[in-house]
Amino acid sequence: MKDSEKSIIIETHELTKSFGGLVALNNVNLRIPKGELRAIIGPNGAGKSTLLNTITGRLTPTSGEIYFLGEKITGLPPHEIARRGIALSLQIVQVFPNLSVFDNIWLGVKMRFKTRNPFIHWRQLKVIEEKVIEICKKIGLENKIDEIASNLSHGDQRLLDIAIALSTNPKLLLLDEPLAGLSVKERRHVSNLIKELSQEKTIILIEHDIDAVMRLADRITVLDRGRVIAEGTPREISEDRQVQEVYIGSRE
Amino acid sequence: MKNRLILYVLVLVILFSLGFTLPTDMRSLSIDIFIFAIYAMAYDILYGYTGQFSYGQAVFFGVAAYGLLLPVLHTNTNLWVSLTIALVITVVFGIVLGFLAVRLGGAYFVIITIIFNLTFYLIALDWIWLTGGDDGLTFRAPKIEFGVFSLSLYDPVVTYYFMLSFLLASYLILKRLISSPIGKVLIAIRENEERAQLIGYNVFRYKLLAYVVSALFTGLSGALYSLRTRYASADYFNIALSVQPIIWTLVGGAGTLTGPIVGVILINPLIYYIGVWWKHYLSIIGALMIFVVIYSPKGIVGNLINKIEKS
Amino acid sequence: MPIEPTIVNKIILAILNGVVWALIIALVALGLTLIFGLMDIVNIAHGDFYMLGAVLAWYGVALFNNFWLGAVMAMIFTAILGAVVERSIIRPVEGLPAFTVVVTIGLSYIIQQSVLATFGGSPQTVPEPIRLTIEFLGIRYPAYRLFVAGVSGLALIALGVFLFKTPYGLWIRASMQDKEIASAMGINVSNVYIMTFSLGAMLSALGGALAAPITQVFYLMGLDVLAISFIIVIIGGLGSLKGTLIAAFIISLLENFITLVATPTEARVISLLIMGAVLLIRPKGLFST
Ligand SMILES: Nc1ncnc2c1ncn2[C@@H]1O[C@H](COP(=O)(O)OP(=O)(O)O)[C@@H](O)[C@H]1O
Ligand SMILES: [Mg+2]
Repeated sequence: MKDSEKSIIIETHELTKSFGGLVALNNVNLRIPKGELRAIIGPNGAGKSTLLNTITGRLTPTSGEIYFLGEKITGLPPHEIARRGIALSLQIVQVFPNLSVFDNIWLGVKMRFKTRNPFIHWRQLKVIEEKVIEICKKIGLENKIDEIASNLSHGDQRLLDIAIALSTNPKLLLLDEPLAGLSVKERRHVSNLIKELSQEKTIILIEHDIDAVMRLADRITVLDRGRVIAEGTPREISEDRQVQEVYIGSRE
Repeated sequence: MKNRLILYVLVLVILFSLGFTLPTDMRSLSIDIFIFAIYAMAYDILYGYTGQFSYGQAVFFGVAAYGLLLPVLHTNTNLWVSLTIALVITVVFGIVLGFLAVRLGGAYFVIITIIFNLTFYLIALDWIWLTGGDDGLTFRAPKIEFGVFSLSLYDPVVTYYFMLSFLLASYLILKRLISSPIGKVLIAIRENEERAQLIGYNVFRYKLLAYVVSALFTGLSGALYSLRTRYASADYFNIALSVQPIIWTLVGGAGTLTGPIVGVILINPLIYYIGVWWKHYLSIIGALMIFVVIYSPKGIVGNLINKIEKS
Repeated sequence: MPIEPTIVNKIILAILNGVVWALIIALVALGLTLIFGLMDIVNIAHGDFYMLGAVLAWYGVALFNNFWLGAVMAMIFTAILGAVVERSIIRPVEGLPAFTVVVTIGLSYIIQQSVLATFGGSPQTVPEPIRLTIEFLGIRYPAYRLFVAGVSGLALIALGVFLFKTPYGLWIRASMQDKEIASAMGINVSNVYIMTFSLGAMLSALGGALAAPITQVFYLMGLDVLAISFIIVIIGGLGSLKGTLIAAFIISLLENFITLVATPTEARVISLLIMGAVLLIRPKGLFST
């Protein structure tokens, strides 16, 4: 009992979020152990993005609790939650548009370091610069390190968005539809990247591309109209009747 | 790097030699420019770097002007003590007003800064026992004392170098601030506040910091201006004074620190000379503001530089 | 001659003045809130539309010896001006809040200087077009002020009918809720913008024209009205029509009561403090949802 408790990285308890009359999340209970790649699927409007937004503190839940590494984080402001080690790459790409790739990532890395002299010139922080270059390489943006973010293609902006999330060295990485809008080639690159990242981090992945989900996920949670309707391994989920109904229903 | 160093040295040499070569009226204009350049940089920290569009910075200009004047007038405190008092009071006001205005951001920020400004102006007009109202108060400028040395601000050459040193010091401090990690975070907030928060920055704290720093340097500018004019009146809170930095920034380009200074150098003499022959020069300013944001939103100077670089 | 008013008399006067002033200022503030709620524009020149209303009413008296003609002229003129302004200088910077502020500051300067050049820089008074005083509850009260209250009240009701009972109003409210859905429904949002800006300007000018005989007409008179309207809009909640209306009454009555024992400036300071308190407790205004 104790050991399994310890290895849970994120847990939601009866999490509910309503917008006026609309219940976007309805008593959601999640328990995700360290190191897992958990996919969350469900039709549009199921509440997937809302779930990530409540976990990261962008939205305050109507009721219920969220625990991260055993500590309650419900109601904390987003920057506090980020500092504890949760990073989010949003459904709509969010970068610092007029800054270079380097600066974009630098900002995330800097957050981890406390400088003794707050007025030191930013280029003197060599440790940070090394880290930035390391992340750029890992992500595959090393050739575009000096480009301005808004000049990048959508695919590269998505990569940069993930790089920013990674740069804070999170314990839990939340990815909201990272493959949406990418070309086939870019999809392959990003999903390989996710695979690679999953070796070292716990990831919650929201994705519509079922093939990618089946390939990447350790376990899958299915949301529909704010409720968890199924949870299991990719194989279990693909054989679940209820899931098939929801999916067939929504695809038509 | 080397070119830049040469440029800096050149500018310094010119500024220093102008102090004793300029004719009186141009020297006087230069002194004004030095003082307002500090105001312009202060505004750039707030709007250009952090994206907080204030329409009420004159509050800090006026508070600091009186913060310097009143101690000198009533208790005869020396220059450094009164300047310190002025700046401390301004920072206190900056923190209190900032706490209310900064949190909400956006349109609320603009509106709240306007309300503060208009209300402070009203108070300054009305509380004549404190401010002298519209007529204002005059005072004798204290001596500049360094140990046994002392210089008189009644000598315009002394005033020139005195104000110039404050401008240079302010430039160096603010330049340092924006080149530091803090400055980077401020820019990040301007670029994408939500993202900055999501990677762990306390956006409110940084924005408040920018607001207070801006208040401090706006206050420095106001205190120096009252020292130069040996006078302050309710007009030092005039909302028109809050429009000035917006114009400087529009003309010179936001987020460059030196751009708004160029704005001051271009606009202030212009206003001065147009004002002499046409009393409705403000309508030209109004038209200029509309024209710039519609046709040249990166600032006239910024756009010119872009064009030159491209050609 | 007039006897020393008792405290009760003074309180009744404060209530009456507070209500009259609340109704006038509600016209102005509702225009401001409509424009903001729909277009996200902080219209700095809104106070100057009010000033134009007062100035044109003055011209109505000065040129034609007819206040009413002046007031109607003021409304027509500002409605057209509002439409022109929206199309020519607001439209190009739509969606860029800081720039809309700059543009309206520029506009404000141009209006003020034009008035200064033609009307002059010294405050003028407009005689009350109804020169009757009514005696009741032991006080004498100018009939014109009661008339102003009536007209403003009617204008507010008309605005309510317009917004809630006509298709135009429905378009405005739908666009305020969600522009994309509104245009998907076939509403021409661009026309709604023009209409709203023009309507807002006109309401402000009506307020100014009605207020002209009560206050002094001056080319900078819009600033004070802008300040109080902004305070009201912040307390009521930016973009909330109901909040604006209620806050107009609260602040106006309050300031009139406080001026029984203090100066108008002190009353304004108290309004400011109340606004500060509201911002701390309910940042998005008392009546925000
Ligand atoms: N900020 C919001 N305000 C009101 N309704 C919202 C908001 N965010 C999401 N919703 C609603 O909540 C439901 C779930 O949305 P979302 O979490 O984005 O779904 P998903 O990401 O699964 O497609 C949708 O019906 C959506 O319209
Ligand atoms: Mg979603």
